[in-house]
Formats: sequence, structure tokens, C-alpha cells
Amino acid sequence: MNAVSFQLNARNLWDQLTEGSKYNGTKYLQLVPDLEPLKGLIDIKSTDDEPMFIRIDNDDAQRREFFVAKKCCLKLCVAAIFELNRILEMEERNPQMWSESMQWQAFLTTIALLVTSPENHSALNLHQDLAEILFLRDETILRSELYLLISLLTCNNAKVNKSSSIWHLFKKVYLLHVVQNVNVSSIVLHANLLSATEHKNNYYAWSFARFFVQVEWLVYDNNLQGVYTQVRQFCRDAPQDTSSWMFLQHLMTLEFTPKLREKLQLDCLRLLDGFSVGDIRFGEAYGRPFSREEVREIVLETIEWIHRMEITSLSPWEFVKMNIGEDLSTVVDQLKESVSKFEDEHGKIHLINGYFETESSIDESNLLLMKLYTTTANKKRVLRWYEKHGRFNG
Amino acid sequence: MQLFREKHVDYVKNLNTKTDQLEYWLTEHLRLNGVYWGLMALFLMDSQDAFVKEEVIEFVLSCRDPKRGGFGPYPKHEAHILSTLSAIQILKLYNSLDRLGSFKPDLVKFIKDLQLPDGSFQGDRFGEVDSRFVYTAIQCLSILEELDENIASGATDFVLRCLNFDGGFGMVPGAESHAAQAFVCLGTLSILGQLDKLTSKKELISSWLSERQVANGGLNGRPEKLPDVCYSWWVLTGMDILGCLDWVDHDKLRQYILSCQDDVTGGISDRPDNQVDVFHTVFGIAGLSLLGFEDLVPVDASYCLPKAVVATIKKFPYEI
Repeated sequence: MNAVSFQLNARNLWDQLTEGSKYNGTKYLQLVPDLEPLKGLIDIKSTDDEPMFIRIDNDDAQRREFFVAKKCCLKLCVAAIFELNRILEMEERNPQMWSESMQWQAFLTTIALLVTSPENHSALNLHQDLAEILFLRDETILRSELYLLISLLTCNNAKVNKSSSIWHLFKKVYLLHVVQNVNVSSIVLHANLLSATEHKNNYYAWSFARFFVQVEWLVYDNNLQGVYTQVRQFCRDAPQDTSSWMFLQHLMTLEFTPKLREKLQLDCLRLLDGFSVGDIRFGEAYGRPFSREEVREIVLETIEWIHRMEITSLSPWEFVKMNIGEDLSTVVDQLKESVSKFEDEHGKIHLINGYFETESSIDESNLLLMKLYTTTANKKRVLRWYEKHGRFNG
Repeated sequence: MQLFREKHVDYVKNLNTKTDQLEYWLTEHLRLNGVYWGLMALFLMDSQDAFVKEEVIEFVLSCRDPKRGGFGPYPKHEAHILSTLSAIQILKLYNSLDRLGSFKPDLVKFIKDLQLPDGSFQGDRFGEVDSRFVYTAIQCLSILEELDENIASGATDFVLRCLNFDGGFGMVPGAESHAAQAFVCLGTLSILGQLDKLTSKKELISSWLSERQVANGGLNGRPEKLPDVCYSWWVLTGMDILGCLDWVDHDKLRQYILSCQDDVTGGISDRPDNQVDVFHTVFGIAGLSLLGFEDLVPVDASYCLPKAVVATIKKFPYEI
């Protein structure tokens, strides 16, 4: 791929991923090994006439879907790396001193690298330098950047979707919208949940969510009930997703204090450093989004759901155990009784590190019994925690 | 099953010759880290001569970012704390820190300037904050013997705030517990001689770490995740630092790591039958070394450097 061809392809990528659509910008980027089987649907070609994207508007999923051939993506990446190295070797390294077209060329280069090697810190820094210039020149670029990042963070490639650097950049772009009084909260939360759906146990997606709820509460006076409802549903749809359950736990114990407000203010100032924008106005609403009584109800409801749905995964119990205390002593008694009854009937369960062994041999083909062993082992783990540590959160 | 030592040496030795492969170019931004992973694997197998020392040192020095003072992952790239640690570790492994010469003051300044008022460190000017970067910066300064009380107390406070109620550590205070973060937080406290700050939490942390071992012997990074060879390092180191290494089943773990080897190409992968890479190769071998298997060179849990190398680093707090 020569330099001209690379620029055209990178521009194509940017245009497609940042274009608004009838689905409010929601896109789904999938890297696929090859595009041959879907040849009839190809509507965008790269400059050397190889299939680059397939674009489909999926009304059922309410999103625009892009299928990108890995081969094409890799070629683009290699060309971008050579282009980046050419830029890094330039005598004048300050993008402020470059011509407008040079700035755009370099910006497109960094975008190709965000798609293919998001932890390239030189590319990230250059991208940010250029974004600082371009956002000032044309405010629509900021919205395009938001769409671009959403495409990357919700895409099926783990390396991109779970990139801590892209999530960090997403924080900045979200905050830039906040500063400009453009409310993108629902789009951002939607993207967060889409990303977490695409990659379970998505550490950085749920870390972003922790930041997001702080801004929502302190800037928008959002009581977080909507966030809770959506995350609760997410957790129940993904019982094994520890990260989402731990976020739910975080939400339950969150308490806004002047100290937290001060910390968030400093973080935001640091995140916006370099962008010539105004300040964020923080409110002074302190307290807990969820009262202790509400948390107790939510925990009881979760335990009831675990039993009713015969959930075998440990994550919901991890959520429960962090909230269990004196006010839930009846729950503890019920768990003890249930474990004891099962062990009397089927033999002792020994918890060993992160797994368990049984005194009597189990017929592993008996799935129902295996399920009972697993659920009982989970209960035993919660009890062991309670006996050792008792109530932790208060 | 045995460790395919010779195959692993060949695998590492040939990594830098695959310049005709796309992967080689796609990982350019990790090159210096890759050199450290490969070199460290060779050191642990007592095969460091497989790399040409002077060539490696020249490459390291060519990655220096003169504008910022630190090291980038590749020539002309911007300095980042992660690639800077790799550069310093490589020079230390080769007993060649003197090659920093007059660059050293700028290097130390680059690292120290990354510390924020709350004691955390950012990775570079992009501003990402993570307990990984605290550990990385503290190890850099330790090897360079440039730690000071101010930096140490800030870093200590920050990593202690990363400890969660479940006994794990997160990337920042309040973040989800993760085994890799446990390693960096415990490693930081160990290097700074501050482990006594954890005395009352030792059992809680040890329990969380030991619960990472799953039925097939491998270790995972978080509850309900699949095991992965690299956690043989991230989890075990924390346990070694806390003195509870025997809480997990060593033989089962050894079998798991060895089952992730490629008996044809050499190298170790994250899980059996997956594609091998140098990252999992070094941490698999380091895990085996920590467990005392396969007659490997003993590794230091806090630094991921041979114990003999770490013995030459001045311990903090420094005696006046």
C-alpha cells in the first residue's frame, strides 16, 4: 500500500466509523478473517480493489455493522506504522507548526493505529496533540471522535475493545462533551454496556463506569437509578461476569463526600489538560445513591433470584457476600442449614483454593447433582467468608 | 512432562529474525518490552549468550527519547514508563547501567516527574494512571538507586488505597480486584520495605490470591475467569512476597504450565494448544523458577530479575 493509497483508505475508515446513522451512531465493528463469502454485499473497497468493509444496517440490533477483513486491516496497520515512523523522524515534531493537510494526514494515521495497535503510546500522544488542534478548528470533529471511540470500544477485537488507553481517551472525550454542555450520557452508558456485552469481564469498561457514575451524580445530579436498572439487568443476563457484579457492588456502597468531589475535580482537570476548554461545574449533592435499607432489599432480592434461577456461578454470591452482615443474619442461618442438609445427604464438600473436592465420588454425568454440588460449594464459600470476616461494608 | 529448555531458547533467539512477518511490525510498539521478556527468559534458563550483548545494549540506547529523558519502545518513539523499565532492567541484567552515562539525571527526572500529588504515577504525558505504573516507576528508581522518602511515602499510600475489601488490589482505589494489580501493589510495597503496613490484612490477601488456583492447577486473574500461564507469575509472586507460596498446589501448577508449551516450535502460551508468545514464555518460566522446578536460575519475586542481580541493588530505605 503506497502513501497515497494509505491516506485514502484511512480516510475511508474514519468517514465510515464516524458517520452518524439512523441508530444514533451505534456501530458494530467486527474484524473477520476474510470477506470472500459475503462478496455480494461488499459496498466499500480499498484503493487496490480488495474488499475492505461490508456495511449492513441491522434493524433488529438497532446498529450499523461493519465487517472488516483482517488482511486489509493488517496491511493498513503496517502502512500506518511506516507513516508514523516517517512523522516521528520529521525535524519539526510540533504539530502546531504543520500545514492543515499535514495535520489531517497525521491524524488519519493515528486513527489507523488506534484500530490496529491501540497501545502504541507514540500514536496515542500524537493523536491527542492533533485532536487538541482539530477540535478547536471544527467542533463537529469532537462528535466524530466520540463515534469513532464507541466503534472501537464495542468492536469484537479484544485488543481494541479492552484497551486501557482507548478507555482513557474515551474519558477525555466524554468530559469534553460535558464541558460543552452536550449531554451524551445515554450514548456513553449504552456504549459501556455494549462493550461489556461483547467482552465479558471487561475490566476497563467497568472501571470507566465507576468514573462515569461519579460525573453523572456530581455534574448532572443523576440519581443513578437508571444506571442501576440497566446494570442490574446486565448482571442477571451475565451471571458469570464478575466485573459487572463488582461494579454493582461498588454502586451499592458508593458515597459522595466533599473529599470524593475534590478528587474527581482534580482528575477531571488533569484529563482535560491541554484542551483549551472551560471548567466543569460540579454540584454539591452528597450522600449515598442507595440507602442501607435499599441495599438490604437488593441483596435479599438477589439471593431469591439466585435460588429461583438455580444460578451456579459464583459472581452473584461475591456480590452478596460483600453486603452480608448482622442485618442479614437470617440469610446466614438459612445458608448454614442448606449446606448442612446437603452435606448430610451427599457427603462433605472441601473448598480448596478456587475449586472444591468431594468426599464421595460424583457421577459427573449427573448434571443435576453436579449443579447442586456447585451451588452448595458457592454457599459454603460465602459462609467461610462470613465466619472469617463478618460484616465488612458498613 | 519436562521443560523443553532448548526449544524455548531457540524460540526466543529467533524472535528477532522474523522481520518478514506482519506480527513483527504490528508489535513494534512493544519491542523493548519484548527484548526484556526474551532476555529474562534466557537468563532464567542460563542461556543469556543466545543474544549478542552489545547489539542489545546498542538497541536499548537507540530507544532513548532525548526530548523527555526516558525510553520509548522503539527508536524515535516517545518515552513511556513501561518501556523505560524494560530498558533499565536490560541494562541491569547486563551489568551495564554505566552506559546511561550523562543521560541518567534526565532519566531520573523523567520518572520522578510522572508522580502525581496523590502518590500515583502516570505512564507518560497521555495521563493514564494505574498501579502498574507506580510499580514500574518504583522499580526503575530502585534499580537506579534513586528512591527518596517523599516518592516512597506517596507511592505507599496510593497502593494501600488500592486494596479492596475482598483482599485483592485494583488499578486505582475502588477499582475491581485483579491478580496483576496484586502483584504490582505487593511488589511496590516489597521494594519500598513497607510490607509491615499489610500485617493485619495478610491472611485476607493470601486467601484471595490462593483462590485463583482452579481445578486444572492453573491460576486465573479474577474469580470465574479461565486460567492463564502469565498468572503463574502475577499470583505466585504476591504469595511469595507474603510468604504463603505453599497455599497453592505446586505440582498441579507445574503440570499446567508445562502443558502450555509448544513441543515443536518452543515457547509457552496462555492455555494449552494456543499460540505461543514471548510474554507467556517468560512468565511461565519465571513461575516455574519461583516454584523451584526444572533447575532454573532463581528469580526474585519483586523485581522479576535473577536473585543474584537483585542482590546487587541497594535496599531502600538507604543507609546514610
